[in-house]
Amino acid sequence: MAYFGLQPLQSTYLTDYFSGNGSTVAFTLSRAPIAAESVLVHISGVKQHASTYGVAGTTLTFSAAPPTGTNNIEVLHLGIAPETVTLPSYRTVTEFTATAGQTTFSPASYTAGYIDVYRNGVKLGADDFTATNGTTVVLDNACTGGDLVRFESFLITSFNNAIPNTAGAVGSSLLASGSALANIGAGGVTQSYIGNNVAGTGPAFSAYPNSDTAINNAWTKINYALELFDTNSLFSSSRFTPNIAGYYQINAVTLMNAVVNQATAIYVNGNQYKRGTYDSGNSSGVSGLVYLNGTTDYAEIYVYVPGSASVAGDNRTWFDGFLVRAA
Amino acid sequence: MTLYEKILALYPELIEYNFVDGNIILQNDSDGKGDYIAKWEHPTLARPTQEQLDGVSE
Repeated sequence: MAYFGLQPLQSTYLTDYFSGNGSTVAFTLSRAPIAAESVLVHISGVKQHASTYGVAGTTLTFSAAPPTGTNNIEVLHLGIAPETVTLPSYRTVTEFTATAGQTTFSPASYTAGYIDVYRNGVKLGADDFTATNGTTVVLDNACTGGDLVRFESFLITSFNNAIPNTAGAVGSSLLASGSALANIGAGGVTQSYIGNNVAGTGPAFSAYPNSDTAINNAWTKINYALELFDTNSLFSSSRFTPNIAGYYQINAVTLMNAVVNQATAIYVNGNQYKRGTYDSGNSSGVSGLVYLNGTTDYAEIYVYVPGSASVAGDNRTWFDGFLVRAA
Repeated sequence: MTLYEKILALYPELIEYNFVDGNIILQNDSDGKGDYIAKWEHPTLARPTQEQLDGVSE
């Protein structure tokens, strides 16, 4: 069963106890009753008539101070007003004393179709007046001076600030400004509202070459023509240019077609940024964190060989990376 | 003759380490434009001019 606001729970009636001292007339309740009749009050076991006390918010005030006694004042709440739900007024009444010939009135703002009009106590039919703009009502027949014209407009919503317990969209007006829910938009949850232990959907790619690259005593850019994956289509022309500012893990392994001294390095914006180990073998690699600004910064891989050699142009040579943390 | 070989002809005292440790970077962007000096921060040897490089005989 669906509910508006908080789902009702079954429990015992809430009861407040107070100790009278013969002089105190005001006591603070744990909850604010809707009216004096919403609580049953007993003093020393005798039920009190609602006319002998009043409630205002959480204050219960007796017309005469209860006698001295320990917990001799018992207040039984017959119901608890729902919390977190704003209960609006449903009917707004505006009355006018018409002047002779008056046809136009400006009652409290209303919703077209939800307003009744009375003239000298007689309800007018829908054809007897025009009420479409939400601010004025025009009677078809002019009033006689002194006519009492009464307008009753009705609120068409029953609860404010309650999230519907049915499938469908929840408008932003129902969500507190600045709350996490209010920041869920068509583009998803913004990075700042992702939990610290939750991975986002930042860019990730992996690429490899389809042909050998000749190296001859110069740091040489490796061309990665093939992509294993490229989640956000940000890898192009052998360079990774992400569109989110942040810190990226960049990795690369280079396989040479011979055993030679060699090094592989991460380049940012065409400049050497982090170099891997320089050693002899048939492969080398590099791995490191790189900050990229999300607009113009790009990462590439270069390889150095002190002599002439070639990089294997297949998936044994690879270049990949992903967003670790947004800036 | 590669750029590396021309530089070695001008400065025979340079060793492999100089080109790897970062104070001299010869670079090739695989864009068909060939090798160039991307960085020269050698503590004692001046960066060779294009004229000097062009003057190195094959």
